[in-house]
Amino acid sequence: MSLTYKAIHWNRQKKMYDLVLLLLIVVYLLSFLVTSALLHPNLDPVNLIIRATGSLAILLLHLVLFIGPLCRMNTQFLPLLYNRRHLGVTTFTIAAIHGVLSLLHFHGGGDTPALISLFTANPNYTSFTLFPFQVLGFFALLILLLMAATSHDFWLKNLGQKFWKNMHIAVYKAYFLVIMHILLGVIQLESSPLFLLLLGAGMLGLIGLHLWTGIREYRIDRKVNLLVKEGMLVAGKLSDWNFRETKIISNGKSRIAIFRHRNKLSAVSNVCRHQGGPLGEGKLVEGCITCPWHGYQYFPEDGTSPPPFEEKIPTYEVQIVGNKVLVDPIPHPPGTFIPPADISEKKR
Amino acid sequence: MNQAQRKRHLISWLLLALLLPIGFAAAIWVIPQPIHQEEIFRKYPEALPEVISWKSSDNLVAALRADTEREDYQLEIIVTKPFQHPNILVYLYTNAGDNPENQILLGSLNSKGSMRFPIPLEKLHEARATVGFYDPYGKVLISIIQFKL
Repeated sequence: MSLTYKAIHWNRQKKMYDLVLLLLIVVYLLSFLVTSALLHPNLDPVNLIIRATGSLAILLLHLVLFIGPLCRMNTQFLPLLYNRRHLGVTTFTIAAIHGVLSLLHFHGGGDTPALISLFTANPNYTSFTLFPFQVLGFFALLILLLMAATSHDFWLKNLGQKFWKNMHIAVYKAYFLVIMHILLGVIQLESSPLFLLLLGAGMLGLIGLHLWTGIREYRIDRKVNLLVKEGMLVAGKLSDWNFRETKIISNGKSRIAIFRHRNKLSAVSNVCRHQGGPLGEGKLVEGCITCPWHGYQYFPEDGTSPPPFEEKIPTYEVQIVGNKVLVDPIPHPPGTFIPPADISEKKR
Repeated sequence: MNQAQRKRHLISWLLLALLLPIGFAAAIWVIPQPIHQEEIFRKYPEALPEVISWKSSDNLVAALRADTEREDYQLEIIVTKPFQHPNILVYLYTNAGDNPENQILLGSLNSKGSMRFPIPLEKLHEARATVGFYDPYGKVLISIIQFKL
């Protein structure tokens, strides 16, 4: 969390993350350049750099897209998600180098301005086999530019979490454009099947993981807890909280996280105000609910962030009837104090 | 994420799960044979010693070269000015009709510098030493050169 906007809010983990990322990029580029130069000594050096950056950009884009579903499957991947935006901006930077070099190299030497040449040199827009694949890459790069430019928390705060998140789903359109850019471009010109196999494996892996986790989440959303008298949700038995801090239930529209803290139960919205992280999958750190994605914190009783932070989330009323924990499905406005339900006496 | 955002993610991936494999299969189906790009990686042979004939145009200088015994021939192309075509294929023109793509493909002009393409002797005579330059994307025959043998 941060009170002021800085270009990058550095901490040890981010420094380590970026350092490892930079090292991997350098190793990849050097390996690609040296191996290619040895195998194809006559290859034009600019062409070589275009290929190295292009292949690295698609590799990084796959990594970015793998992180989300991997975190849904196993929380051990969460450290990768913490700094995913740096990975995203890096992906754009590498893709931009590839794009600009390609534009200058393939369209910069003629009488027509390079950007116009990009759209007019190959006019076969109605043909699948001869389609101008570079145009697909151009539009994918534009989407990545928009996402990289708005990746900072400044834009997240000012555009609103919902709008920002919906806008960043455009990465899937960029992914489709990139895959078609490759399939109608380099794959049509490449005799080795290796790249095609790697691309296919990455694509199928991503589709499989996203569909699997997406359908699993959809089923959870559809599973509304049983309604009992007076419109309360049955969240479970008291014993459900014996060996864990949290439980997530659904009211049919949104998810509710019920936390046990100091032998009391409090319920809050499961959605973090920052990037929509799942608070119920986080932990209580020094009495605060802590988002597993980026560490945003909230008090369980009223859903407010500890001062001087100002984020607030909706809260829900919790009741204990006999051995059952009941939750009011209607949220209270963000930041409303709701007395927690005391479980210490009920357990005795 | 809220429920609507999760739903949007799922719908996006359902669409991608449908479209990407179709695009993948279609793109593999249309891969041209032979693959034109292979020429760019090939180490061009050393220039043969004798220049039999040469021609020049706005964009290139083309020379027909041979060894001293006149058994091996090669076409040497030096691109002097960039073409306004994204890719140019060089064909040896035989009598197999007018369609450039029915001719014998020698290679492509898509990088700088001089390029040399070996020409089989019998095909050279069959083609009466005629070479064509063709843009496969625009489907435009750019020029035809006939060398003196």
